[in-house]
Amino acid sequence: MSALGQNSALARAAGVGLKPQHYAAALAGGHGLGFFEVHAENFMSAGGPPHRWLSAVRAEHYLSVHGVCLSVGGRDDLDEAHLARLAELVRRYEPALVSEHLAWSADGGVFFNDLLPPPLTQASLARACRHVDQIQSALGRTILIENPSIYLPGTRGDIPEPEFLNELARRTGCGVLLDINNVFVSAENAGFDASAYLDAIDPANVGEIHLAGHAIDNFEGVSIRVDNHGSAMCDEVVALYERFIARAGPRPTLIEWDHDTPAFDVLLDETRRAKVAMMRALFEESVADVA
Amino acid sequence: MSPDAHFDEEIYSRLGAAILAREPARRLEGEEGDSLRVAAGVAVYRNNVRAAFLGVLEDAFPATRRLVGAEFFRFAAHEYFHARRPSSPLVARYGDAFPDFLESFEPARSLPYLPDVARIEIAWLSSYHAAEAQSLETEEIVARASVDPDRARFRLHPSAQFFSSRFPAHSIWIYNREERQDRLDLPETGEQGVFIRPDAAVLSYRLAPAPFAALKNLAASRPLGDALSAGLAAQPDAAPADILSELLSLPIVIGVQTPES
Repeated sequence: MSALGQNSALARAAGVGLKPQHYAAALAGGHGLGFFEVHAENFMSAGGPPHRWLSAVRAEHYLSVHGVCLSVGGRDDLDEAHLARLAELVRRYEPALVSEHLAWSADGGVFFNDLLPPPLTQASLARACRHVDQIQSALGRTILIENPSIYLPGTRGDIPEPEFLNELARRTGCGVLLDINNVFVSAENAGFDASAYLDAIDPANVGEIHLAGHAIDNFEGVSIRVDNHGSAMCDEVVALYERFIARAGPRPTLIEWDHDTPAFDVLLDETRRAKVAMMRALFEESVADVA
Repeated sequence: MSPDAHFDEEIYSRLGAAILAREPARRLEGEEGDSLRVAAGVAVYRNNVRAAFLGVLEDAFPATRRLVGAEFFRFAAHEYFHARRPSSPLVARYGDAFPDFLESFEPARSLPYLPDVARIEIAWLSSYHAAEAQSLETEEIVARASVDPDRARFRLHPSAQFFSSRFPAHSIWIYNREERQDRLDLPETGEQGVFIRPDAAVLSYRLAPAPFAALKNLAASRPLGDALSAGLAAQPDAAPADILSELLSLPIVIGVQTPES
């Protein structure tokens, strides 16, 4: 794949998901952040204050446009009008990174507005490849595809998810947006080994990493991890991140905090935790190289 | 059925149906594993979907929500979700049919102005997100239109969004949008007007029936002469010169076209 997100300036950068209440702080500078990510769907209107803010942020920082509604993992054809809106947004802002999800959010004419995990079969792999090809040719560039959060036990087909993502990247040239919180949440809920999952991901494909906090909910005595992006990262996720960076090298790393979003300084604290883990991983790697 | 087709059926159809169902299912047919774990997983998806759509409506209709209270609003949002299956990935427009839904929503009958307040919130949002454009100064409009004022046509700002109600819905909207607590004296008449966002902020103008009718005619590309006649028809005691002054005081015109231009 191309060096998406692997250029030296961006690769070591930490970023945050940009929220309206933080526009001014993002523009004020002095925060040391290397990039900001926005959800594509929040900027699909023609104009207005959000576009004014985003243009100002884009003038100073790398931007990542993260689509959440294209239903790449769906069995229906892509919504072409929606793809055209994404293409227009990408043309308008020329972001450093563009990503979508290996998830479905539409089926049979219903839009679910959630990121649901697709089956992991040869048929769904072929469909996902077709969809990614279609998106990349509409956008005229490669994109990154993010692994989903899983809440159901059991398997969803005969292809392990890391292998599915590796193969999707190999066939389409897309990259992977590795969400390590999603890996951890899914591993706990579906009962697999998060470290083994990360070890099976081809690091050459990974162009960005997402980190976030999650909740532990309880349904009638069953404990389940919910990827709600509503708190600080748990230590296990930070440790998994360090493990992956030690093997892959630095990648642009984004802190997501979408619900009960705290003050900007608290997000900066989270990016510092990630930066420390990144430096530890790189230090360990260089020590290992010398040895 | 091939294994792949089997999985498709299981994951898309069954999970989709379990999410949409009014009542949570005790188990998801065909899903492997502990049935309690499966039920818990499905519950997370069901909650996520409902919470996401509720959040869209809460963001779009703050005044409507304040009028009915958070609990009733959640109930209305839930009924709306089941009454009209969401179909568009343009989630920001999910609430576009919410005012019409409220119109026929029996539990909200005691607040007859509620659908109009919700319509005003949609108009405000549409104005907020509309394309940018430069409004013309009054002198410039006059200079361009004076060649042939009767037949001059005005191009209006893309953020212009009209509202009208047989209730004082705009006053009710502002009061709740600004989360005011003071005494609200409502007029006994309806209200109409326009939102315009000439710069960063959405401005709201309540208009008398004459300028409102004239402006709506201008928006429909009718020439100024016809627009003023429509204004007089809507409000016979209005003076054409006053209607014109009011129109020219608004930052709403971005282009003037006369037959010669």
